[in-house]
Parts: sequence; C-alpha cells; structure tokens
Amino acid sequence: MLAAEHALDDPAIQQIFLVPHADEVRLIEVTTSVRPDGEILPFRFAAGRGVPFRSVVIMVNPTDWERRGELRWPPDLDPARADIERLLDQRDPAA
Amino acid sequence: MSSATSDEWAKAYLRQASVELEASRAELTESIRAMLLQMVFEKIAKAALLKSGQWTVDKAQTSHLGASHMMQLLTRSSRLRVHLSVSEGQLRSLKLLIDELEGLQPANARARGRTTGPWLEYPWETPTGLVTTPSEGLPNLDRYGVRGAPTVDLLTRFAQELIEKHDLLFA
Repeated sequence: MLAAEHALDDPAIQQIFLVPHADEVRLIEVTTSVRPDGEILPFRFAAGRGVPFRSVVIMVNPTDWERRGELRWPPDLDPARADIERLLDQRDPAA
Repeated sequence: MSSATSDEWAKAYLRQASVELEASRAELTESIRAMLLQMVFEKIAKAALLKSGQWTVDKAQTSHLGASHMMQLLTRSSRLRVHLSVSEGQLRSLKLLIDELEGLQPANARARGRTTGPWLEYPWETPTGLVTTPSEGLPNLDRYGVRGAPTVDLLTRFAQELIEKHDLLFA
C-alpha cells in the first residue's frame, strides 16, 4: 500500500524494492526525481494514518541503481541481500 | 568509534542548525546569509538521516548532501505535508531554492562537474581571469541572501518549522 502511494506521489519512480524487516517497512525507490550523486540517503518516518509501521525510504537515481554494487549502502539495506523483493516495476520497456 | 547514540548525534546536528539559523537572522553580508541557510538545511537533513540509525557520523561529517532528498520526500507526501504550515506551492518553491543552495556548496558543485564558481564560501576565478569571492560575485542573492526578501523569509520560517517539528516528521 505504501509503495503504491509513493508511486502515485512521484510519477518519476521506475522501480520500488522492499527490504524485508520485522518491525518496519523498508523501501528502495528508483526515481529520476533525485540526482545521481552516488550517496545513499535513508530517511525514516513514523507510523501514521493507514500505515501502522515505521518506514525507511531510500531514493536512488536509475544511474546510481545501475552501479549499486559500487555504492556504500547501510548493511541492513544493501540491495545485494538475497531477500530483496521488487514491488513495482514501471520502467519504460522501450527505453 | 563513537559511544554516543545516533539519536544523540542527530539532536546535536539539530542544535547546531538552530544556532546557525539564529545567526542568519543577524545583520550580515548577504553571501554569508546564503551560506548559513545552506548549512542549516544540510544539518536538518543530516539530523534526520542520523536519526534513521542507517547513516553514520562519518558520512555526516564528510557529505554535504541530504537536503534535496529531504525536500523531495516532504514535497511529494501528503502524509508529511499535513504537519507543515506552508502550502504545497510554497513547498515546491522551497525545494527549488534548497536544491539551488545545495548545488552552490563547493564540494557538491565539484561532484556535479563544475570546476569553478560561483559558489558559497570559497573564491573562484571568472572566465575573464579575475579571482572573485562570494561576497563580490555570488548571483541571485535576492533569492537566498537579502535580509527581508520574501524567499529568504520563507526559507528562514521553514527551517525554524522543520527544527521544531523534526520529531513529528522523522522517526
């Protein structure tokens, strides 16, 4: 639900990944709304109306996502983890 | 290795942002006010990043990024906007201003491919070979440096609100 809401809020989102965690929703969002600065910037938000868990969101430019293996990720949020799950993929197939 | 918690570091960054914001309200050279406002938003963002528990003090002391991402999240989310007194349109204007200030931080400007100013804090060489300073040559100070200018007032009030509501906005 949160991922769908974010995709509506930010039409530039191409992909959203869930990094499973017991106590909070952790999302990696690939979006052109942020610059390809090569830094991983995790923000955490409190639980709220309709979202009974805290959430952590990292926004990553598609260029940085392509070279994600070279970037310094927080260990808990490293997309190289085997259990990461893609929730949304709205990349342009023609691109 | 720090023995302090990430929350203690976050609170310290927020306290320093508050001091720098207060300093920006004083009678100052306009380019210094612009630099202080850039530093304030950078520290407000860093306080949020540190509070997440997923960012390190080492990163906080070496990076100058974060404010633009923070503004993107605040601007797009109706859940977060509801806590703020500014309108959606004002938030979009604030995001543009804060993006511009972030890009004027010299290390950020260099990381984005600019090899010379205009930028905050340091002198730079102009295309005609003149070495100039932010106080002599920083453009667009009416947007983020002139005391009492509408956008400067908006930036100042918004920074104060983010500091006061930080715990409400970021967990």
